[in-house]
Amino acid sequence: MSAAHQSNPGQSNPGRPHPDRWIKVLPEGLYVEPGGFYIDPVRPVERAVVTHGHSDHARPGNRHVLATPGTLAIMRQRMGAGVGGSLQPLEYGEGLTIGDVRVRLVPAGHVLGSAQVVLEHAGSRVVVSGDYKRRLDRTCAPFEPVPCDVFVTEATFGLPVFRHPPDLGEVGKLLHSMALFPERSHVVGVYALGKCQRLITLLRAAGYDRPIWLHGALEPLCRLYSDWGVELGELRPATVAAKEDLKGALVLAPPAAVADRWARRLADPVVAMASGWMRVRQRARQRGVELPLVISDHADWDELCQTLEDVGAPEVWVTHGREEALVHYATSRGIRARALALIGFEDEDLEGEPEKAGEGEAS
Amino acid sequence: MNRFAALIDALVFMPSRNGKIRLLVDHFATTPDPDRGWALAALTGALSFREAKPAAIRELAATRVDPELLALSYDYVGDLAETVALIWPERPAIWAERANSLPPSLNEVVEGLQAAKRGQVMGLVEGWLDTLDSSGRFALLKLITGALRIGVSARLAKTALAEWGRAARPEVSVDDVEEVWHGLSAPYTELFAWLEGRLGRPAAGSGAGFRRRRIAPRSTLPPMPRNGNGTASACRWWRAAGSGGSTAAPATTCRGLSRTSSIT
Repeated sequence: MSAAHQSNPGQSNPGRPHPDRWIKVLPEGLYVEPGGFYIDPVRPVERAVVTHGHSDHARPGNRHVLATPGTLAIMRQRMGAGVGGSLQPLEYGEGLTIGDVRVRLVPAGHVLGSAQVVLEHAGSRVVVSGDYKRRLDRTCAPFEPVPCDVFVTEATFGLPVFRHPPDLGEVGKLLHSMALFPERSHVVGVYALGKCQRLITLLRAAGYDRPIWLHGALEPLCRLYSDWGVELGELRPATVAAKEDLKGALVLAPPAAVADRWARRLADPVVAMASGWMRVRQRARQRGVELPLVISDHADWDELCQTLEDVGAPEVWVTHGREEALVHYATSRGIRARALALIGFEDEDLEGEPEKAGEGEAS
Repeated sequence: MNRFAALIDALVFMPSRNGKIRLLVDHFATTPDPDRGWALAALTGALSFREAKPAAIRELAATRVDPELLALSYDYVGDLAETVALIWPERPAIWAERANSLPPSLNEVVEGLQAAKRGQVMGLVEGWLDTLDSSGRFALLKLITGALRIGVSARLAKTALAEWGRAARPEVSVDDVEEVWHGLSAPYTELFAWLEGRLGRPAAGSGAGFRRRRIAPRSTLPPMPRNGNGTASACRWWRAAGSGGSTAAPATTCRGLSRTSSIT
């Protein structure tokens, strides 16, 4: 427990202003006033701290960007010249003072480079989680709980119906189906950043060593992950492959492409989708998914609740997702909780958005 | 219950009609009586349990999870059986405690529910929910709340049944199944025995079943002309009658009749 935790922060102590005095929700995003910067701003700003590379958190056009080297590499890869002015890397665990605020980035376990932002000012510590998960992921550093006075959390899967089963069991379902239908292609809808590479490492861990075929939109980030030392095994481009070669093959594609003309090149495909939403049967069914795989890069309900315990914060702010349920749960545990109602952050389920459809983006 | 749960799950996710028929045929072929008969009864809407109703299940779930969280989850998922199946807290300890009690078979569930007295039903359901996994809970709750809504109509289930029956009785069609259906009741052991070639055709019942109706007594109309494939053409029949001068059928009647008869 932090030193700050020992006495209750709040308005009663004039020497320690409550964090809601210095962290504000503005139209641009979450603003840290004494540092003069925004965290994951949705509009271009002067100074931005970016938690991770998904396009609803990392947006182009900011004058100064502070993020982990991994996140900056992903941003450069995706945005090219539009990434913004100066990019400043900050390694995990290193401290930096911006204005009156001490800033530190700590692994969030969401995707490569993803970080929580630890803010210390006037004797209080606030942790902004970004997106996170608690289970093992070979493609990124694991989540580290940081004791704090205010924990700002996501709640994408903030309902107790969302309990992600063990990952290897889900991968086993996919391998079983491939053994059952050796003449059909299996096409799995995955988000280009994070889910794709994680699924590949899970498949390799389960002993699948044949080549994996990729939709063109997935290739650049897989290369980037390989350059960062994540072993992905043999990958081949599916877009130029002959239909004959794809019989019985495993093909990964962005969620929008699996239901599109693109998938017609495949031999009688089994349509699978790797997403936390696949937990709800009727939702999977509506999307025409034959083989739902419940694999998510977000914390499920149990992980969210566990994280509230682990950070031990007396106050929790919920940024996006299904806030109501988590706020209700936290309140019932004696934690002061409120929803920040930040706009611009999306569900993991973005395929409906035309400008992102080809990219297969995820939050 | 596990086989039934696997069938329900597979049917939910199978988009194609022929694929659904394949799954059902496989189920009828590999599941013993009476479980397959109860599954057929569930798919055709022939099962109803008086005490186990959605409101009771909702109340039961509210004893295990925070009612507010249950309400928010139900609001999001939109299907009570699925919400409760997903939200029901799994207690790993229960597996150790009940190591010698396997999840119930479908037959145990159906007979248990039918035999249970007023006030005992929800206790039974609670015990089963604790021993089943999420798929099993979903199947159990779907079973007892009635309408399955998994994209399989009663007719499709009977079509699959006839398809499976043709392995032993090549002459059987789905209309034959419809014809004997109303003389039978769940779990349909005679029906399965007939379709496997072990018993004779069941009696067609007392006439309460569905029969194609004639529009008018045949004696007052000219004979119905036949198409090349031996089926009756109602439309031409009407035209023929009209041109004979006895009845003048308007064109709309002709179209309407033709459509109706093609549905049956």
